Amino acid sequence: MNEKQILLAEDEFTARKLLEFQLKRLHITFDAVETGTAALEYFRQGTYKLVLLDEYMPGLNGSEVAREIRRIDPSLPLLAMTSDPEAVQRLLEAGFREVFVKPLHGNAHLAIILGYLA
Amino acid sequence: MSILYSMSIIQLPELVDQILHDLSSLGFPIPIQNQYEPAAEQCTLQDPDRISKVLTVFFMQLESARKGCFSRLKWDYREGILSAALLEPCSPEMEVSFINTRTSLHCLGGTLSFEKGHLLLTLPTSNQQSTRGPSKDPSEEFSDAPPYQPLDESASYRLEGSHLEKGTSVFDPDVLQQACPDEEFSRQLLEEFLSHCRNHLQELEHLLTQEHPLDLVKIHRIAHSIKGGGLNVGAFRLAEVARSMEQQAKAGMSGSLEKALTRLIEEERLLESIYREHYERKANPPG
Repeated sequence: MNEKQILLAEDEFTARKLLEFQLKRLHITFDAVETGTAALEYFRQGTYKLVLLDEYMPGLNGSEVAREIRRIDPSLPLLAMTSDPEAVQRLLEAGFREVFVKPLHGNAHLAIILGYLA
Repeated sequence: MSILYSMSIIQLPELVDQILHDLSSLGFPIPIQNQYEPAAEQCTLQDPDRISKVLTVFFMQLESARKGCFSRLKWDYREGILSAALLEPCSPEMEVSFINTRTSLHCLGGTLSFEKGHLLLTLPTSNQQSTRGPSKDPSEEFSDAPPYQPLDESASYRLEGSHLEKGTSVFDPDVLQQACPDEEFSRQLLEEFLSHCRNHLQELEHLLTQEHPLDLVKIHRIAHSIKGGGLNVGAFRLAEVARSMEQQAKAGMSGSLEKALTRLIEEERLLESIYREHYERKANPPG
Protein backbone atom coordinates (compact mmCIF):
# COMPACT_ATOMS: atom_id res chain seq x y z
CA MET A 1 0.00 0.00 0.00
CA ASN A 2 1.20 3.49 -0.85
CA GLU A 3 2.36 5.20 2.36
CA LYS A 4 3.13 8.93 2.33
CA GLN A 5 2.84 11.70 4.87
CA ILE A 6 0.64 14.08 2.90
CA LEU A 7 -1.97 13.91 0.18
CA LEU A 8 -2.15 17.26 -1.60
CA ALA A 9 -4.88 18.27 -4.04
CA GLU A 10 -4.54 21.61 -5.83
CA ASP A 11 -5.61 22.34 -9.40
CA GLU A 12 -3.75 25.64 -9.82
CA PHE A 13 -0.31 24.59 -10.94
CA THR A 14 1.86 27.38 -9.48
CA ALA A 15 0.40 26.81 -6.01
CA ARG A 16 0.83 23.06 -6.37
CA LYS A 17 4.41 23.30 -7.61
CA LEU A 18 5.42 25.76 -4.93
CA LEU A 19 3.99 23.50 -2.24
CA GLU A 20 5.71 20.51 -3.79
CA PHE A 21 9.00 22.42 -3.74
CA GLN A 22 8.55 23.44 -0.11
CA LEU A 23 7.54 19.97 1.06
CA LYS A 24 10.50 18.37 -0.71
CA ARG A 25 12.87 20.79 1.01
CA LEU A 26 11.46 19.66 4.33
CA HIS A 27 11.88 16.01 3.30
CA ILE A 28 8.14 15.45 3.61
CA THR A 29 6.79 12.63 1.46
CA PHE A 30 3.61 13.38 -0.44
CA ASP A 31 1.35 12.63 -3.37
CA ALA A 32 0.16 15.66 -5.32
CA VAL A 33 -2.91 15.55 -7.55
CA GLU A 34 -4.86 18.11 -9.59
CA THR A 35 -8.46 17.16 -8.92
CA GLY A 36 -10.73 16.13 -6.10
CA THR A 37 -11.57 12.91 -7.90
CA ALA A 38 -7.90 11.97 -8.13
CA ALA A 39 -7.47 12.82 -4.45
CA LEU A 40 -10.18 10.33 -3.50
CA GLU A 41 -8.59 7.64 -5.68
CA TYR A 42 -5.21 8.16 -4.05
CA PHE A 43 -6.76 8.25 -0.61
CA ARG A 44 -8.48 4.91 -1.14
CA GLN A 45 -5.23 3.30 -2.27
CA GLY A 46 -2.85 4.79 0.27
CA THR A 47 -2.29 5.87 3.85
CA TYR A 48 -1.55 9.44 4.83
CA LYS A 49 -1.03 11.42 8.01
CA LEU A 50 -2.65 14.54 6.64
CA VAL A 51 -4.72 15.66 3.65
CA LEU A 52 -4.40 19.17 2.24
CA LEU A 53 -7.20 20.15 -0.12
CA ASP A 54 -7.84 23.18 -2.26
CA GLU A 55 -11.49 24.13 -1.92
CA TYR A 56 -12.15 25.43 -5.42
CA MET A 57 -11.36 22.61 -7.85
CA PRO A 58 -13.15 21.41 -10.97
CA GLY A 59 -15.40 18.41 -10.40
CA LEU A 60 -15.32 17.55 -6.72
CA ASN A 61 -14.35 20.50 -4.55
CA GLY A 62 -12.34 20.26 -1.34
CA SER A 63 -15.37 20.07 0.95
CA GLU A 64 -16.89 17.22 -1.05
CA VAL A 65 -13.64 15.26 -0.96
CA ALA A 66 -13.30 15.94 2.77
CA ARG A 67 -16.81 14.64 3.43
CA GLU A 68 -16.00 11.31 1.79
CA ILE A 69 -12.61 11.01 3.52
CA ARG A 70 -14.17 11.74 6.90
CA ARG A 71 -16.74 9.04 6.33
CA ILE A 72 -13.92 6.51 5.92
CA ASP A 73 -11.42 7.93 8.44
CA PRO A 74 -12.96 10.51 10.81
CA SER A 75 -9.71 11.11 12.70
CA LEU A 76 -7.49 12.01 9.76
CA PRO A 77 -6.49 15.71 9.89
CA LEU A 78 -7.92 17.62 6.93
CA LEU A 79 -6.55 21.02 5.99
CA ALA A 80 -8.10 23.36 3.44
CA MET A 81 -6.77 26.07 1.16
CA THR A 82 -8.89 28.84 -0.27
CA SER A 83 -8.33 32.21 -1.84
CA ASP A 84 -11.65 33.43 -0.47
CA PRO A 85 -11.31 34.73 3.11
CA GLU A 86 -15.10 34.69 3.43
CA ALA A 87 -15.08 30.90 3.02
CA VAL A 88 -12.91 30.31 6.08
CA GLN A 89 -15.68 30.00 8.64
CA ARG A 90 -17.73 27.71 6.46
CA LEU A 91 -14.74 25.43 5.90
CA LEU A 92 -13.94 25.27 9.61
CA GLU A 93 -17.54 24.38 10.33
CA ALA A 94 -17.32 21.73 7.63
CA GLY A 95 -14.66 19.98 9.69
CA PHE A 96 -11.33 21.19 8.35
CA ARG A 97 -8.80 21.52 11.17
CA GLU A 98 -7.02 24.45 9.51
CA VAL A 99 -7.80 26.78 6.66
CA PHE A 100 -4.99 28.50 4.79
CA VAL A 101 -5.90 31.61 2.85
CA LYS A 102 -3.96 31.79 -0.41
CA PRO A 103 -1.56 32.97 -1.61
CA LEU A 104 0.63 31.08 0.85
CA HIS A 105 3.47 33.51 1.27
CA GLY A 106 5.76 33.10 4.25
CA ASN A 107 6.33 29.91 6.20
CA ALA A 108 3.43 29.83 8.65
CA HIS A 109 1.53 27.15 6.70
CA LEU A 110 4.63 24.92 6.70
CA ALA A 111 5.06 25.31 10.45
CA ILE A 112 1.47 24.20 10.94
CA ILE A 113 1.82 21.27 8.58
CA LEU A 114 4.98 20.15 10.39
CA GLY A 115 3.08 20.41 13.66
CA TYR A 116 0.57 17.86 12.42
CA LEU A 117 3.25 15.49 11.18
CA ALA A 118 5.30 15.60 14.40
CA MET B 1 -10.49 64.18 -0.10
CA SER B 2 -9.03 62.60 2.98
CA ILE B 3 -7.39 59.24 3.28
CA LEU B 4 -8.24 57.40 6.41
CA TYR B 5 -6.32 54.38 7.60
CA SER B 6 -8.26 52.44 10.13
CA MET B 7 -5.74 50.25 11.90
CA SER B 8 -7.28 47.97 14.43
CA ILE B 9 -4.56 45.84 16.01
CA ILE B 10 -1.02 46.94 15.31
CA GLN B 11 2.17 48.23 16.77
CA LEU B 12 1.37 51.80 15.91
CA PRO B 13 4.44 53.57 17.29
CA GLU B 14 6.90 51.39 15.40
CA LEU B 15 4.90 51.49 12.21
CA VAL B 16 4.45 55.25 12.14
CA ASP B 17 8.06 55.89 13.11
CA GLN B 18 9.26 53.57 10.37
CA ILE B 19 7.07 55.17 7.71
CA LEU B 20 8.06 58.68 8.74
CA HIS B 21 11.72 57.70 8.79
CA ASP B 22 11.51 56.08 5.36
CA LEU B 23 9.69 59.02 3.83
CA SER B 24 12.13 61.44 5.34
CA SER B 25 15.20 59.52 4.18
CA LEU B 26 13.73 59.31 0.68
CA GLY B 27 13.34 63.08 0.53
CA PHE B 28 9.55 63.00 0.60
CA PRO B 29 8.60 66.57 -0.18
CA ILE B 30 5.49 66.74 1.96
CA PRO B 31 5.95 68.24 5.40
CA ILE B 32 4.85 65.64 7.89
CA GLN B 33 3.11 66.50 11.07
CA ASN B 34 2.87 63.64 13.50
CA GLN B 35 -0.06 64.17 15.78
CA TYR B 36 -0.22 60.62 16.78
CA GLU B 37 -0.30 59.54 20.42
CA PRO B 38 0.95 56.07 21.35
CA ALA B 39 -1.81 53.50 21.37
CA ALA B 40 -3.00 52.01 24.58
CA GLU B 41 -3.58 48.62 23.02
CA GLN B 42 -0.74 47.00 21.13
CA CYS B 43 -0.49 43.59 19.58
CA THR B 44 2.13 42.02 17.37
CA LEU B 45 2.10 43.14 13.80
CA GLN B 46 2.78 40.28 11.45
CA ASP B 47 5.38 41.94 9.29
CA PRO B 48 5.87 45.60 10.21
CA ASP B 49 8.95 46.15 8.03
CA ARG B 50 7.28 44.96 4.89
CA ILE B 51 4.03 46.75 5.63
CA SER B 52 5.83 50.00 6.29
CA LYS B 53 7.60 49.62 2.96
CA VAL B 54 4.34 48.96 1.15
CA LEU B 55 2.78 52.04 2.69
CA THR B 56 5.88 54.14 2.08
CA VAL B 57 5.81 53.27 -1.59
CA PHE B 58 2.11 54.02 -1.63
CA PHE B 59 2.75 57.54 -0.39
CA MET B 60 5.60 58.01 -2.83
CA GLN B 61 3.36 56.92 -5.69
CA LEU B 62 0.61 59.22 -4.54
CA GLU B 63 3.07 62.06 -4.48
CA SER B 64 4.33 61.16 -7.93
CA ALA B 65 0.76 60.96 -9.23
CA ARG B 66 0.05 64.40 -7.90
CA LYS B 67 3.01 65.71 -9.94
CA GLY B 68 4.83 67.03 -6.93
CA CYS B 69 2.04 69.29 -5.74
CA PHE B 70 2.87 70.66 -2.35
CA SER B 71 0.54 69.40 0.27
CA ARG B 72 0.51 68.33 3.83
CA LEU B 73 0.31 64.86 5.22
CA LYS B 74 -1.17 64.83 8.67
CA TRP B 75 -1.21 61.86 10.99
CA ASP B 76 -3.81 61.60 13.65
CA TYR B 77 -4.66 58.86 16.08
CA ARG B 78 -7.71 58.57 18.22
CA GLU B 79 -10.00 55.80 19.40
CA GLY B 80 -8.04 53.06 17.69
CA ILE B 81 -7.92 54.70 14.29
CA LEU B 82 -4.80 56.04 12.70
CA SER B 83 -5.56 58.56 9.99
CA ALA B 84 -3.31 60.11 7.41
CA ALA B 85 -5.02 62.98 5.65
CA LEU B 86 -3.84 64.32 2.31
CA LEU B 87 -5.51 67.68 1.97
CA GLU B 88 -5.86 67.77 -1.79
CA PRO B 89 -7.80 65.73 -4.29
CA CYS B 90 -5.76 62.94 -5.86
CA SER B 91 -5.44 62.38 -9.59
CA PRO B 92 -6.79 59.32 -11.43
CA GLU B 93 -3.30 57.77 -11.30
CA MET B 94 -3.98 57.20 -7.65
CA GLU B 95 -6.12 54.26 -8.67
CA VAL B 96 -3.05 52.34 -9.81
CA SER B 97 -1.30 52.95 -6.51
CA PHE B 98 -4.43 51.93 -4.69
CA ILE B 99 -4.72 48.66 -6.62
CA ASN B 100 -1.04 47.85 -6.12
CA THR B 101 -1.16 48.59 -2.45
CA ARG B 102 -4.36 46.67 -1.92
CA THR B 103 -2.86 43.62 -3.64
CA SER B 104 0.40 43.90 -1.70
CA LEU B 105 -1.42 44.17 1.59
CA HIS B 106 -3.70 41.32 0.66
CA CYS B 107 -0.61 39.16 0.24
CA LEU B 108 0.42 40.11 3.75
CA GLY B 109 -3.00 39.29 5.15
CA GLY B 110 -4.28 42.85 5.35
CA THR B 111 -7.02 44.66 3.49
CA LEU B 112 -7.46 48.00 1.80
CA SER B 113 -10.80 49.24 0.59
CA PHE B 114 -12.44 52.42 -0.56
CA GLU B 115 -15.64 53.21 1.26
CA LYS B 116 -17.61 56.41 1.54
CA GLY B 117 -14.73 58.62 0.47
CA HIS B 118 -12.22 56.96 2.77
CA LEU B 119 -9.52 54.41 2.25
CA LEU B 120 -9.81 51.82 4.99
CA LEU B 121 -6.88 49.68 5.94
CA THR B 122 -6.60 46.73 8.29
CA LEU B 123 -3.33 45.04 9.04
CA PRO B 124 -2.58 41.43 9.91
CA THR B 125 -1.43 40.25 13.27
CA SER B 126 0.91 37.32 13.71
CA ASN B 127 -1.82 34.70 14.11
CA GLN B 128 -3.91 35.64 11.07
CA GLN B 129 -2.12 33.75 8.35
CA SER B 130 -3.91 30.57 9.30
CA THR B 131 -7.32 30.46 10.85
CA ARG B 132 -7.53 27.69 13.36
CA GLY B 133 -10.47 25.53 14.24
CA PRO B 134 -12.15 26.41 17.48
CA SER B 135 -11.27 23.16 19.24
CA LYS B 136 -7.51 23.48 18.83
CA ASP B 137 -4.98 24.39 21.46
CA PRO B 138 -2.06 25.80 19.42
CA SER B 139 0.43 25.59 22.26
CA GLU B 140 -0.12 21.85 22.55
CA GLU B 141 -0.62 20.99 18.95
CA PHE B 142 2.28 22.87 17.37
CA SER B 143 4.89 22.82 20.09
CA ASP B 144 7.38 21.10 17.78
CA ALA B 145 6.70 23.36 14.84
CA PRO B 146 9.49 25.74 13.82
CA PRO B 147 8.88 29.38 14.68
CA TYR B 148 7.09 31.55 12.19
CA GLN B 149 9.56 33.19 9.85
CA PRO B 150 8.52 36.61 8.61
CA LEU B 151 9.06 37.45 5.00
CA ASP B 152 12.55 38.40 4.01
CA GLU B 153 13.52 41.81 5.28
CA SER B 154 14.79 42.91 1.89
CA ALA B 155 12.56 45.48 0.28
CA SER B 156 10.80 44.06 -2.72
CA TYR B 157 9.12 47.32 -3.59
CA ARG B 158 11.79 49.25 -5.36
CA LEU B 159 11.75 52.97 -5.59
CA GLU B 160 14.08 53.29 -8.50
CA GLY B 161 14.32 52.08 -12.07
CA SER B 162 11.76 50.59 -14.37
CA HIS B 163 9.73 48.87 -11.68
CA LEU B 164 8.43 52.13 -10.33
CA GLU B 165 8.06 53.71 -13.75
CA LYS B 166 5.99 50.81 -15.06
CA GLY B 167 4.12 50.17 -11.85
CA THR B 168 5.84 48.70 -8.81
CA SER B 169 3.76 45.61 -8.45
CA VAL B 170 3.59 44.45 -12.04
CA PHE B 171 6.25 41.93 -11.09
CA ASP B 172 7.85 41.40 -7.71
CA PRO B 173 10.66 38.86 -8.10
CA ASP B 174 11.17 38.60 -4.36
CA VAL B 175 7.83 36.86 -3.89
CA LEU B 176 9.02 33.76 -5.71
CA GLN B 177 12.49 34.00 -4.29
CA GLN B 178 11.10 33.91 -0.78
CA ALA B 179 8.84 30.98 -1.55
CA CYS B 180 11.62 29.00 -3.25
CA PRO B 181 15.20 30.24 -3.25
CA ASP B 182 16.09 28.00 -6.19
CA GLU B 183 16.39 30.49 -9.04
CA GLU B 184 16.24 27.92 -11.81
CA PHE B 185 13.03 26.53 -10.37
CA SER B 186 11.58 30.04 -10.08
CA ARG B 187 12.39 30.85 -13.67
CA GLN B 188 10.87 27.63 -14.92
CA LEU B 189 7.75 28.24 -12.87
CA LEU B 190 7.40 31.76 -14.22
CA GLU B 191 7.92 30.63 -17.80
CA GLU B 192 5.31 27.97 -17.28
CA PHE B 193 2.94 30.46 -15.69
CA LEU B 194 3.32 32.84 -18.64
CA SER B 195 2.71 29.99 -21.06
CA HIS B 196 -0.41 28.91 -19.15
CA CYS B 197 -1.51 32.52 -19.02
CA ARG B 198 -1.24 32.98 -22.79
CA ASN B 199 -3.27 29.80 -23.31
CA HIS B 200 -5.85 31.00 -20.82
CA LEU B 201 -6.13 34.34 -22.61
CA GLN B 202 -6.67 32.60 -25.94
CA GLU B 203 -9.33 30.47 -24.35
CA LEU B 204 -11.01 33.54 -22.90
CA GLU B 205 -10.94 35.24 -26.30
CA HIS B 206 -12.57 32.18 -27.80
CA LEU B 207 -15.21 32.01 -25.06
CA LEU B 208 -16.10 35.67 -25.44
CA THR B 209 -16.60 35.39 -29.20
CA GLN B 210 -18.99 32.49 -28.84
CA GLU B 211 -22.71 32.81 -29.24
CA HIS B 212 -24.54 33.84 -26.12
CA PRO B 213 -25.16 32.70 -23.46
CA LEU B 214 -21.54 32.99 -22.36
CA ASP B 215 -20.02 30.20 -20.32
CA LEU B 216 -19.58 32.35 -17.24
CA VAL B 217 -18.60 29.41 -15.05
CA LYS B 218 -15.66 28.63 -17.30
CA ILE B 219 -14.68 32.29 -17.59
CA HIS B 220 -14.82 32.58 -13.81
CA ARG B 221 -12.63 29.52 -13.37
CA ILE B 222 -9.99 30.74 -15.84
CA ALA B 223 -9.87 34.21 -14.28
CA HIS B 224 -9.61 32.57 -10.84
CA SER B 225 -6.68 30.50 -12.03
CA ILE B 226 -4.83 33.51 -13.49
CA LYS B 227 -5.45 35.42 -10.27
CA GLY B 228 -4.12 32.62 -8.08
CA GLY B 229 -1.07 31.99 -10.23
CA GLY B 230 -0.33 35.71 -10.50
CA LEU B 231 -0.35 36.14 -6.74
CA ASN B 232 1.93 33.16 -6.32
CA VAL B 233 4.58 34.41 -8.74
CA GLY B 234 4.44 38.08 -7.71
CA ALA B 235 2.45 39.31 -10.73
CA PHE B 236 0.22 41.45 -8.58
CA ARG B 237 -1.31 43.76 -11.14
CA LEU B 238 -2.23 40.92 -13.48
CA ALA B 239 -3.76 39.17 -10.48
CA GLU B 240 -5.79 42.24 -9.62
CA VAL B 241 -7.21 42.54 -13.15
CA ALA B 242 -7.99 38.81 -13.13
CA ARG B 243 -9.71 39.18 -9.77
CA SER B 244 -11.85 41.92 -11.24
CA MET B 245 -12.80 39.72 -14.19
CA GLU B 246 -13.53 36.83 -11.84
CA GLN B 247 -15.97 38.99 -9.90
CA GLN B 248 -17.61 40.27 -13.07
CA ALA B 249 -18.14 36.70 -14.29
CA LYS B 250 -19.52 35.68 -10.92
CA ALA B 251 -21.93 38.60 -10.95
CA GLY B 252 -22.99 37.83 -14.51
CA MET B 253 -21.70 41.18 -15.80
CA SER B 254 -21.04 39.85 -19.28
CA GLY B 255 -20.99 43.33 -20.83
CA SER B 256 -17.73 44.29 -19.17
CA LEU B 257 -15.83 41.05 -19.77
CA GLU B 258 -14.34 42.05 -23.12
CA LYS B 259 -12.85 45.17 -21.59
CA ALA B 260 -11.46 43.11 -18.74
CA LEU B 261 -9.90 40.70 -21.22
CA THR B 262 -8.22 43.58 -23.06
CA ARG B 263 -6.71 44.73 -19.78
CA LEU B 264 -5.60 41.21 -18.96
CA ILE B 265 -3.82 40.91 -22.31
CA GLU B 266 -2.08 44.24 -21.75
CA GLU B 267 -1.02 43.25 -18.26
CA GLU B 268 0.30 39.89 -19.42
CA ARG B 269 2.45 41.60 -22.06
CA LEU B 270 3.74 44.12 -19.57
CA LEU B 271 4.50 41.39 -17.06
CA GLU B 272 6.38 39.40 -19.65
CA SER B 273 8.51 42.37 -20.71
CA ILE B 274 9.35 43.33 -17.13
CA TYR B 275 10.08 39.76 -16.18
CA ARG B 276 12.46 39.30 -19.12
CA GLU B 277 14.09 42.65 -18.45
CA HIS B 278 14.61 41.65 -14.82
CA TYR B 279 16.36 38.41 -15.65
CA GLU B 280 18.44 39.95 -18.44
CA ARG B 281 19.64 42.61 -16.01
CA LYS B 282 20.43 39.91 -13.51
CA ALA B 283 22.35 37.86 -16.07
CA ASN B 284 24.22 40.92 -17.37
CA PRO B 285 24.58 43.35 -14.50
CA PRO B 286 25.60 46.88 -15.53
CA GLY B 287 29.31 47.63 -15.31
